[in-house]
Amino acid sequence: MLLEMKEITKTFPGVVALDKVSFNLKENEIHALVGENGAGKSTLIKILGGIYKPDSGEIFLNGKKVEFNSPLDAKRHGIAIIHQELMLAENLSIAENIFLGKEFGSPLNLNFHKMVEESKKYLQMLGFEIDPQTKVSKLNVSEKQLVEIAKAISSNAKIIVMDEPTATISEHETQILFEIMKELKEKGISIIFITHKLGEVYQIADRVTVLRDGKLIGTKNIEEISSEELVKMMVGREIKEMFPKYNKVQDEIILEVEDFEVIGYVAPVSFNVKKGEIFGITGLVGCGKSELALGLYGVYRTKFKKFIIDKQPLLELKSPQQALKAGIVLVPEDRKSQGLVLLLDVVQNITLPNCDIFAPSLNIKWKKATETTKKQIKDYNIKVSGEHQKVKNLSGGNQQKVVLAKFLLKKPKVAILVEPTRGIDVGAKIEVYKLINNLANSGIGVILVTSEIPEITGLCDRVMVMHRGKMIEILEKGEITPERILKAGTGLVENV
Amino acid sequence: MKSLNKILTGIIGIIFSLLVGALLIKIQGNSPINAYKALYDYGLGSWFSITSTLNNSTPLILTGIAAAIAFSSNVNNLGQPGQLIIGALSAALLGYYLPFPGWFGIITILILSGIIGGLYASIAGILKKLYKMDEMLTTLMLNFIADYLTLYLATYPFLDKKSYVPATKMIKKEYFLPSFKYLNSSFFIAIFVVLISYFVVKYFKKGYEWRMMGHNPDFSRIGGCDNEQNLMWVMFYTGFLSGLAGALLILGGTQHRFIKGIGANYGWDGVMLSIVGANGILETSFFSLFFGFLKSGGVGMEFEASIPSEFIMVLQATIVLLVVSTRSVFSYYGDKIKAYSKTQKVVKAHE
Repeated sequence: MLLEMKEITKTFPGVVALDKVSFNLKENEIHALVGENGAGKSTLIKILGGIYKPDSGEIFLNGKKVEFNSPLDAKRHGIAIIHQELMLAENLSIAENIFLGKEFGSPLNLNFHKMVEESKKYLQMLGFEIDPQTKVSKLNVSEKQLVEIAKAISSNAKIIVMDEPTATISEHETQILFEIMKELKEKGISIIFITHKLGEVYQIADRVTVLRDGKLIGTKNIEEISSEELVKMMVGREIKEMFPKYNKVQDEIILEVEDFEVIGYVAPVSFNVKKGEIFGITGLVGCGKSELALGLYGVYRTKFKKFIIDKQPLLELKSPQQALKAGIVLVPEDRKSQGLVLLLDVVQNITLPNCDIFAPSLNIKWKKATETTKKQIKDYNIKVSGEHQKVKNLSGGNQQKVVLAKFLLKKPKVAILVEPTRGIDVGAKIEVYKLINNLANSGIGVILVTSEIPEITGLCDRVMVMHRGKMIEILEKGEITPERILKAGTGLVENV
Repeated sequence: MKSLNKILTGIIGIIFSLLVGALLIKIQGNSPINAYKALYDYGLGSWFSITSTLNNSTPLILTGIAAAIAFSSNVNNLGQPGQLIIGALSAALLGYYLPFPGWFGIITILILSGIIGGLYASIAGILKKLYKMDEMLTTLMLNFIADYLTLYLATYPFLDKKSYVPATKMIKKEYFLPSFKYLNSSFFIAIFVVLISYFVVKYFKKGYEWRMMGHNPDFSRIGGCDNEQNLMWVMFYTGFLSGLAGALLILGGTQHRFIKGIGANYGWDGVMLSIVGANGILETSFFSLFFGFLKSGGVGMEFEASIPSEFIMVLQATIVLLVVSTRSVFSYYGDKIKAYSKTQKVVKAHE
């Protein structure tokens, strides 16, 4: 056994994050660690990485008891962690990043030449053809991950931990990453792989460990467990329908755009959305789908021939105010930076886009805002201790519900949801899916911008697939299959 | 509760700085007890001292809340000194040339000077809107322009020929703001403006949008606020406050004319005060009173204990540093203690 963690317990203010959790890792193994948000995955990893100290429990490495007092300690023992938020110095080159902290040469006279040469060696191992002197800021997320991996190999890591590496990269890039992971495994490196996506577990892992609410539920060989059983282990309840779908598409068109161009990002596209429809927009990272969404909301500069919303033509779209006024709302991709003020309470967060409701004249009627917030909390099933709880202290799923509640209070005609389920757990995801259905059934045209193919196949009535800032095709109901989407999304289908 | 917290940590920081100050006085060979007694006597000891403290704090209150509102809206307006001095010069000129009768003239002067200060601040807002120039730099540079422009105007076109230093002519007697038992009525105007500003920021739609912009500009933009327009409004409003401070210096002070150096350090003190008051309007006003006390008490220290008046500036700087550090130490350990007691409860419930 390469690594054994025995009966690890760790408490934080208000929660027992880990309750006597045991975990082990064999040599040459890819071991998936799964569980809903707040299950204790990250805590376990941070203990392994020397960031937290466990309250009780022991760690054995190659049968020897070890104690990590700092991240450096863990590194010295051959454990490398690739965090979800990549820890790279953006303004340094790839080579400088790889050898940060273990540079060649003397402090006053660094041997850059040797670093570049060595970096080339590691990058070639990963099949990553790039000049190591390129600045990291020029790379995309998946390329940055490769740099992190190269960094880990260069420090002779025996164990590499990857915390949700596939959350921010596209399906195609995920496949490349998996190839690399398999190669690493053959070279004798063991990998702990944290993910929210069950399909990936079956594709790559040898064994899987499930955590729930800080407790160990079980460790299984991947052949021994079906996906239904795995989901059951994760959420502790049956989920008959991962993707509930009961929206009814009406004939009436609610949004129609012709030659809509987001200047500098997206070439002209034309499409329409019907009342009650869930219209998907998808594509790889960098295909322009988020930019298109922000363009429709007036954040970017746009040009269009026709923009008709609920039979009313829109003459210009220059700011989010105009979009809101026309009846378009956007639930942004990054809820923490664009959707919420984490330090303030739910009421203050919900009030902002709804000033016209709460502040008909100069001043804001806080009493009314509080009452409405209470109602929204109930309607959207947001789990809070009260409407004045700080948003910071809510779970990801509940934060997302606050964002949804905030924008949907406006009674929009078109709702654009950008990656609404990113980083939230399975239970909350299903709630969001139901919400999307309900939205559509209330006569709203829903535009769902997502990179998760199961969401597209499970929820959407029609889907637009994009590639490099261009619309490739719009798939109708019967045509939506993962293969078709991937083919179009990687640019293999010619423009129709 | 929160604002009490800010004030308490502020007071603890001040006590520490007074101790440090005592040490510095001791090192220079003076008696700290005598020095602080003089500080007290001249700052709070008698009715006259109290009024002089309040009079001294009047401009500080206004520049302080100007800085606090700007910073809490994520608008880096560092132009308080320039806006104040522009407002002061405007008041001096209006006070000399305006043909209106008494109280009507006073109100006109105050409002017009405020507006001129606000427009001066808006220059930075326009530069930001049109050319994306960082308002921190532009407001800072506009201070120099204001400084030399007013000096030029007071030295050449509007110079009072009888004066030995660059100064404008004295304003009309009927525009002097009256004093009640030494307390100048400009203090009440400042308090009135504080209350209005508090109300604007807390209950007005615009004020709420400003605050949200301060917390997270992306959030407010996606939420449908016009950040550029809000920045202009914040610039204008805070510039108005600084300009008003300048006008009150002319109408309510002792000189009743624009003299070189009349702006003193009021603008920069306002920036410091907003730091000490953690950008809260009421908190900043409270500490403005304290800085006013230091200013009037500092005179006493110079007279009675022959400690140079520059010492007060040293003390002010120490206060800023110590208040900020006390505050972060408190919030750090406060969070720790809270977390610990919560854990204890959970552990107990577990058992």
